[in-house]
Amino acid sequence: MVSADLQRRVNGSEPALKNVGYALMLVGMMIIVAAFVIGIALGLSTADLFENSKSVRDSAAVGDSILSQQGTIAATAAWLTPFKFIGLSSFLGGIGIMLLVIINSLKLRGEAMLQSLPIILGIDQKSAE
Amino acid sequence: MALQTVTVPVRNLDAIRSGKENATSMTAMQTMASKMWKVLLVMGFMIVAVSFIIGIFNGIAIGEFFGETKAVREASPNYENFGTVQAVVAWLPGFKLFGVGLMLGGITMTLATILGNLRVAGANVQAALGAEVKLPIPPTIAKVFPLMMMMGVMTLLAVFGIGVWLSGLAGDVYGNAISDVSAAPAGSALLADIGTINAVKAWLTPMEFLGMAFLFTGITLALATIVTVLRFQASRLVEIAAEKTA
Repeated sequence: MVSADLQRRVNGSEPALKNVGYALMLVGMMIIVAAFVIGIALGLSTADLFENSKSVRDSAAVGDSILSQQGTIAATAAWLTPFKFIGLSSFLGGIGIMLLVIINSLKLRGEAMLQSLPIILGIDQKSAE
Repeated sequence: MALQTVTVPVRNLDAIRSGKENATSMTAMQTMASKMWKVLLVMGFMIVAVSFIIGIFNGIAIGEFFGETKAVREASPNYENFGTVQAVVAWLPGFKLFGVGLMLGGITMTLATILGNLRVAGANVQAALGAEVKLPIPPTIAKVFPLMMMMGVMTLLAVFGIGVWLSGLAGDVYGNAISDVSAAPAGSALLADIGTINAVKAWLTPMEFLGMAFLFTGITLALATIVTVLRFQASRLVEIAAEKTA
């Protein structure tokens, strides 16, 4: 007879850890999409900045909007790359968790084989021992 | 929520038990994936390797460019093929990531092949045990992950295409003497091109990551499908054992 515990586990809802994997995947996707949108905004700002000649850009005084724009572009580019890698890390974390859930599922299937096959094949477990 | 199943009729039990026939076959997508995964992995690796070699040659060219003083470098048009160097810099990252994308696509197809083998082996075991052959109807995630993989590869291909277009612009701009590039006046075509190169680069890198994100989403969903199938197989064995004892 297959144990009640095994029956409950194979017929129950999918492991909660799988939802953590999904959550990490979604967080990763949101970060990457946000980075892409910020990249588009950065591109527009860069195009706007390059309407000024290099001499104008280089001679921008403190408090000047061109200098502030250059600062914003450089500062955003500096944190945008690590931000994108946080998104990728989140994906990789999700993949790692899914692999862990696969290991657990393989163990569960092994248990199911161990308990079910002797019954299905009609093997007396006690005499086999 | 329990998976919906479909029952497959067993035609030739002896042939299934002797391993000459299968109780069912892989789906069309799984069959295609089982043939394509090696091709994608090899093509992807070759692209990455070629990118590395091109990168070495471009590095040598950059080294030669810096073998002269700033005044000399900036005064001559296309000094030491600087335009070509900048053109290569524009398309090479996209090309390299397209190679990585193909490799990730190959991994996704390997996972689809694993799913196909689980399907066939699961059906064979059920038939060999003399039970009804029940197969799970593919859940939504199983249908979505190949689409995610394709979207990822297409996005990276688009990035590469944009990089090739940008390389033409970069070659033209940096084929001029750097002093002329630096002195481009407001409203000139040269300054507009410089602006375009910098603006496109600002969003092209996040777009590369977007392509990678699609591919990683595909891989995650493929792994989640494997979990679902493994759990279905465990529950089916317990179900068959319960039928035998009933």
